[in-house]
Amino acid sequence: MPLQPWMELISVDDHLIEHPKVWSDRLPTKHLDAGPKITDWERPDTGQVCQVWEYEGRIYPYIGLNAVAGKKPEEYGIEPVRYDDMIPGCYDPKARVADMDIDGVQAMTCFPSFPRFAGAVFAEGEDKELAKLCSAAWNDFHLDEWAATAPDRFIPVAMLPFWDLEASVKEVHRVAAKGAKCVTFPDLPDRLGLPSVHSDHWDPLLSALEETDLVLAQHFGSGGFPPPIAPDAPFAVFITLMGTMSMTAMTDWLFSNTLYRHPKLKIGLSEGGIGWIPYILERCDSVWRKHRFYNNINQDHPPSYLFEKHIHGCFIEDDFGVEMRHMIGIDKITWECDYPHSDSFWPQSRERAAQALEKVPDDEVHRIVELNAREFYNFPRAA
Amino acid sequence: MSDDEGPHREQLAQSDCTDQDLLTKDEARERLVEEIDRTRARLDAVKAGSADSDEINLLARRLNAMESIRNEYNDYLDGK
Repeated sequence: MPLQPWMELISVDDHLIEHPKVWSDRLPTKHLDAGPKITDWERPDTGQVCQVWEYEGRIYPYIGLNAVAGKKPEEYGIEPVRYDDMIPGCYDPKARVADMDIDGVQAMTCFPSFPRFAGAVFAEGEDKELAKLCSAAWNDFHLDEWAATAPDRFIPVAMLPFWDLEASVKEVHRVAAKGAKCVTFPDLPDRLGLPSVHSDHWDPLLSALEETDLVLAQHFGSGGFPPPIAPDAPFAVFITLMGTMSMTAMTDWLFSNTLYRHPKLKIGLSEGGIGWIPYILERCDSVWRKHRFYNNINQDHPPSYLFEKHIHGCFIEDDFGVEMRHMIGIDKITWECDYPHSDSFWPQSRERAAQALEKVPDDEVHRIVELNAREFYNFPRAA
Repeated sequence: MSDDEGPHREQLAQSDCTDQDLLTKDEARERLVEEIDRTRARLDAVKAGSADSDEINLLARRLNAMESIRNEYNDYLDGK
């Protein structure tokens, strides 16, 4: 069996649900009223009383609280509920570890929920000082409370006040000193009204990430830009195409001059799958060969050169990607289990990984499920 | 509607660009019950066969952990 018992599963894409006191425990008193807090809210359409986040007077009804108690997978939808309706592993790190033990998963990487996957909710804040404090408070919660519960079980994540470049650079150094291993960053920053990765705007931040050796993790959807689909298309079309957001983000990087200025930058494409990577690399290189002469792009190296130096992907269920693993690069593939989302195979993640990798040689399986993530994220086995 | 189209299902009113459907207690309990049955069958088979003590201990510990969490969900869901 290629997945051996001694191989530890490291997931690079998972999520936590912030408990109600994440911000009220940490914000200065003068900001407690406007800062994020859980409040009861009656849905206007159904009259259902829900627990929702309120931030600067705005209600965020569907973020992080959309467990759908009592429904079958074919009825999954987006309805806010209460904390009691969630499995405790969503918001309690000790319960999370217990669920990981059952699932056969050694460590995971937990992205935010209410602030959205890269903290974009705070970019919408009217009080930018409060927004920065909220972003830092999430990091303190994650590093001091969540990941600290079991340091060998959680790869520490941090978010940035990315609307303020100078503050972001400072925050990178602060969280690196506290043990963060990666920062979550919007997959398509230009869609949030910020400069794209083609500009030199992000250079100080990217240099800080190189200096601290933190991974820049781009979770699909974190830029808030959904796949362009027909307004009346079934939701299935939307879900199917979410991974193409990672394809867009990666193509931006591969045709930018930015990565040539940051040769040590590590980029993780979170939850985007891997099966599409050989196609887009072939396509990028083909375009580069035919069209580079009149484009402001690097003339010496094809885009695939940058992929090999900088980028890694992950998969949860991607038979085609596993089949094409040598065209992607064994060293560029990591594994994810996406707990506690319904896409997760919990409590069978280990068994499903073993099935997915059944025809892959042991040494390659070990790289994919454990070693690559440990190296990218500087997360060695506990002594 | 042709037979190939299947039954009509109401389209969800909201989109969710963050795709955050969470595992629920109902769904988690259902998955646990199935996995407990599978693990118990595997444990019985191992005990009847090679009697590998390491594997027996591993399976037994996992079984106990799953049963404990299932009971917590039972308490919550039955009290609804």
